[in-house]
Amino acid sequence: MPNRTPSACRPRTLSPRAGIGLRAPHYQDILAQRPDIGWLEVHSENYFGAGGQPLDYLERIGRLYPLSLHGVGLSLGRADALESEHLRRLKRLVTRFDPVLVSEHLSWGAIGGQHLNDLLPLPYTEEALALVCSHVRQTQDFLGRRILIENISSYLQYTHSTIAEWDFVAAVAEMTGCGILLDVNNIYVAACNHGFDPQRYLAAIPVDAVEEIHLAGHTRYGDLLIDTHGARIAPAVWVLYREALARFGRIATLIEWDTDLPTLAVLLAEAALAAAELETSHARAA
Amino acid sequence: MPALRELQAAFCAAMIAGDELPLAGLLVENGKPATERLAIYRNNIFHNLLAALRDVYPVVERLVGEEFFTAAGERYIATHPSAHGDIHCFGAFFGAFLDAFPPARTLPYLGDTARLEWLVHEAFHAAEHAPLSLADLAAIPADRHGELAFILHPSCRLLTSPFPLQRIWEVNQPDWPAEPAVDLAAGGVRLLVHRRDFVIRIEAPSGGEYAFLAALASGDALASAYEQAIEIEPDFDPGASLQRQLANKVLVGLRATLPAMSAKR
Repeated sequence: MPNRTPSACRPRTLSPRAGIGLRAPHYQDILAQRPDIGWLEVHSENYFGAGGQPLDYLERIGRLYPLSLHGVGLSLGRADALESEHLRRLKRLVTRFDPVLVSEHLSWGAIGGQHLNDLLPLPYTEEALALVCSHVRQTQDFLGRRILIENISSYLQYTHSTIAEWDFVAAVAEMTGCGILLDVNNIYVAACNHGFDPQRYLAAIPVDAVEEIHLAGHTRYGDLLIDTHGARIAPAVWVLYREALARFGRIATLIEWDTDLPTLAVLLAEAALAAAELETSHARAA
Repeated sequence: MPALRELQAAFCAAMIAGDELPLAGLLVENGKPATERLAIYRNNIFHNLLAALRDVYPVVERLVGEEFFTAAGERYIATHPSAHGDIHCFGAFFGAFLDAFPPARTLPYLGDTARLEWLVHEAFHAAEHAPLSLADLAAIPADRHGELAFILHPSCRLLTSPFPLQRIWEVNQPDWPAEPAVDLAAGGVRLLVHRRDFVIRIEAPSGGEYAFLAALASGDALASAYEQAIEIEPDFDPGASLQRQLANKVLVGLRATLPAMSAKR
């Protein structure tokens, strides 16, 4: 592989700092400015190509910052088999970049060769729980490492669900040993859309399993909140984040922004707010 | 209660074909009808896939405008569902789709333009390969050169079209300084698309050189590729072409097909 740097040279430890999602329009700014940020996260599938500029940028940026790989297309919740080619490409990336974290969503997006390329909610049933656990185990075995699973935003629920979402997330972590990527904005969005108490969600999540927190902006459409990743983090989400830090301690926190991507400076300003919350929670705990 | 597999198949059908009946009673309404909840997902899915098409096909979009592109995209998404979790793989058949898309009938070059853009997309993500130097070739006895078979850079793609595609592509780039004027009667092209030093290049080799590269790409040895080239272009100069395409990082390696030669060394 070209430009291969021995992995020992890479930043490999994730301290409980604020990071940002790395998107292509910011590559050059990151390299030129080298902002003081704890870590960076990328969507794994954006680097599934065999070569070319995206991988070259990731190689250069990965020498400066700890990297986290965040998958959007594996579809852990699909009722049929995971795609072996998708797993192989993910493993190739994990092997090359030795990321500090690897995460996937607790959702489905494909069945029978047809993909919807979205993060769709599962019915929370015993059948789905057994299936997700088997896919998480298969992924961890194949990659040879622990993964994190992330709770999603949702706009619908199934009448035949028998398990609360928070209990489902906790059960997957407990049964497979995987970690949890807690998306605080997603909890808030789902709580508003489905009318549950977000505190109840936080209280059900095992403290030791949470290794990463996501924060992002949402948008109100009528009486629903949509997880657009296209705005600043809402005040109510900051409040919930403080409560999450009080329960889970200082956890590496990522600012995600995907639509209407702002300048790097705006992203860094949001990350600085998260960093300040992390400091405050630390001081409170001390 | 449906099995998860049935539920997901029904959900897919509701998203792509709009048939929501099999989901009746399975979704909590809670003050908002199921059909409105499904519409949010359908809209998200459509926008994700349309954005993926838009990223790959900016020239097609410039040629037809946003509204036409959106309508064509909607039809494409419905008839050619995504088959990969990696959304960058979506849209491979857009050229063939546009060939047969009735509203595009007055733009016969649209399909070839899309095919060119897909090759550009493939070249962008193709594997790396270290270059080959003249010195590497010099190490091989000259009397064996005819037997050499070359490896082309993994990004190399060859395309022919009866339309002036290179010009269509050039004048529809965002930094093109003038009006995007194209003389469609200018005739067809034989194009080489490749990535060199992270820049995508669209080049128009001569007829002989195109045949030469096409033969080498299919694994033919140099002597055979030369014969195919001079059929098209009698005064084709293979030495000059080799030098040019080595420097151009198009010919980047030798296939290991000379067992007799390695035994001799």
